[in-house]
Amino acid sequence: MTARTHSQHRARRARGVALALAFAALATGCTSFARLEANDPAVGEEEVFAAGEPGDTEHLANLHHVLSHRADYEPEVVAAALASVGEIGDPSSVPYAAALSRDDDEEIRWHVAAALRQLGGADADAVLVRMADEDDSDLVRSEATR
Amino acid sequence: METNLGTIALTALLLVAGAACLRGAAAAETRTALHDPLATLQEKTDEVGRPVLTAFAAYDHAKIRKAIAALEARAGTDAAHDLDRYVIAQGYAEVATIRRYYEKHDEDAMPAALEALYADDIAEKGLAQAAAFAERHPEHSDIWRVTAELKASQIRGMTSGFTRGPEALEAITKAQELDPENGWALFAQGRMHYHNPAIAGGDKDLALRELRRVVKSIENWRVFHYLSLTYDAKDMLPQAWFWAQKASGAAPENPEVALHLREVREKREEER
Repeated sequence: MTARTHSQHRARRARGVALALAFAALATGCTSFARLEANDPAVGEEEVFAAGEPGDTEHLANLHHVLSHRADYEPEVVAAALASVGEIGDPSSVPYAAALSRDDDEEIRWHVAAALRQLGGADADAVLVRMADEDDSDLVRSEATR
Repeated sequence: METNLGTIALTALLLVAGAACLRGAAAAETRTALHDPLATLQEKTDEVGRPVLTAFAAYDHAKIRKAIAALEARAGTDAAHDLDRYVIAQGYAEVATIRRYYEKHDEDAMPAALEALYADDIAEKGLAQAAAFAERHPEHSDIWRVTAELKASQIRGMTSGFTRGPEALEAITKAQELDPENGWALFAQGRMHYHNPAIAGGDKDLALRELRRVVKSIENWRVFHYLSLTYDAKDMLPQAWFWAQKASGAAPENPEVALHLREVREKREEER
């Protein structure tokens, strides 16, 4: 083997190591939707929020999973899921959001109101009217009436 | 050679990213309850010192300075309380924060009384009081948090950042070592991670995790405000808007909170 081929071989091997490390980084879920897609309760709020692109339903089932397993997730993750389903705007999300309209956490109820306003429709409106009327929090009532 | 250097750089970057991920996971796993030493201080100090704690939400620097002056006047007399120097140091940290707000965002509206005070002098006076208190109470965690905030208030660019930054970090570390459940020490760390550039250890993701942990135990306008600032910096506008409104509700007279609320509202309107 010439010096040049040795050098090329070393470079190829180093690139292989780098690629393996890149794969490992992706596998940790820090740079992908891996945790959201695995319905992993340790998913970060940023990952959940990033899944909320208007009209993009790719992660909708995972977002609905977060909303229907409220107790398994941190409140900020549930709030991010509500923001995402609101942004995606698919009407199938209305019952999932509405189910959290009496949650103990003000932040979650506020995001429910914001999401239902974005989602719209008769069912969402009915929940918003009740929230505007009954919720204990000024912030939530205000978001539900806007 | 170039290929090898590129590979080394890429590997280093990935290792840093991996370490950040692990650090994040470790932070997320820490779930012990924090406590609020400033609420305790507000209870324990008397009516002379209490305005230092109660006037900050409205950025009422006149009331804070008046209380500081009264506490300084009784130093060395029989009327002096053991906590006075701690309260005074906290007061100077607040005055430094208020002055910084006007300096950065509304210089024309800077009150003459604040303009007459040099930012560095405010911090030095506070640091002298904090050092005197720490000498008598070396195991007191929160005085090191106050020290960190005062040192951080002296950062005015790269040069001072290179000296005061590490000193502030050292003081925060000491505060946390002495009391890992000190909520305001974790808040100060979150603030530092929010404000610092990445090259100096700044990390908005970490700031967010720290602030989220603080707000579980301390429902205070300042925590709400920094949550909003951090979400805003991460372009998570619904969350930034919620916390900006929470901060405004808790500190309706605070000009910095009001300014940020307007900024987030404008961003949301632009986005629609």
